[in-house]
Amino acid sequence: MSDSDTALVARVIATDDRGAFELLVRRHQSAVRNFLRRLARNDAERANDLAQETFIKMYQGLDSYRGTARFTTWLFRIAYYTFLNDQRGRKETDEFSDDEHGSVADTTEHTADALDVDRALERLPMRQRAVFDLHYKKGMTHSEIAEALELPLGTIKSDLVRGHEKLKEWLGAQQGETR
Amino acid sequence: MNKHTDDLEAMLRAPEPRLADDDFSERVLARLPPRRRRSSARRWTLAGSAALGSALTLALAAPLETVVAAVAPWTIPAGALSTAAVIAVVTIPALLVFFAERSER
Repeated sequence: MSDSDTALVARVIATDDRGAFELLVRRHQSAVRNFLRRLARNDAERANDLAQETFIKMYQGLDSYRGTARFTTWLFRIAYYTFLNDQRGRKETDEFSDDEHGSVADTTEHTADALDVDRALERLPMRQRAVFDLHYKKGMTHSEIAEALELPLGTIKSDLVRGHEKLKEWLGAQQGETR
Repeated sequence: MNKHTDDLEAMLRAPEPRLADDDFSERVLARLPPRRRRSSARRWTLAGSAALGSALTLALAAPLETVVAAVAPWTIPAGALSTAAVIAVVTIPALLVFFAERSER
């Protein structure tokens, strides 16, 4: 049976076990990189750089992991704030540009497919992209997301509701255009 | 819930692709700095210096009070000086530990 995240964390803290740390990175690298790709609107290179930074910060901050929250909740909090800091440094807005990324209606398919949904998700504001990814792709509960992003539970719920409305509107409009 | 909403829900829940590691983990390990461990030595040093400072203050308080009382008997009541000194000697290291640990989080 493989070691739990908590057991691996304990080994790193106790003996600076690099093997245990590597196992943690291998186990979670895909989820963290996918999450950051979502936030970075599919900029894979930027997402990979930020994911590396996330794991390095995780390593440096392992002493502050109390084990009261799930390890992944703590890890995604680090990833989210790493992205936020990078975004502030770039002084970029979170405006979505259809020119840069292709519009939701670019596809020739007549029904909304996964690609359309991914493109529609890219149009959501950054915080909503984070909330959607953590909820639907990582299977986190509303409370866990609130804890990870350090936001009120009500904000998470309203982000999901508003995001849903926008996605339905965009995908509905696209179906109308391609009909 | 209508079919359109069900479809959207199903597509949102579709599992994301598992990204191949492609040396990602090795690159992270290569960039790891030496681990900053919260130094228990620092805590003991600070606690020890606080204890030593308190002991010294208590030992020197009586002669110091005599000197102060002789120089300015109207300004400082007896006992206040040593109390203030003990509080300062204990509080300052405690604050240093608190802020040092908070900055590492």
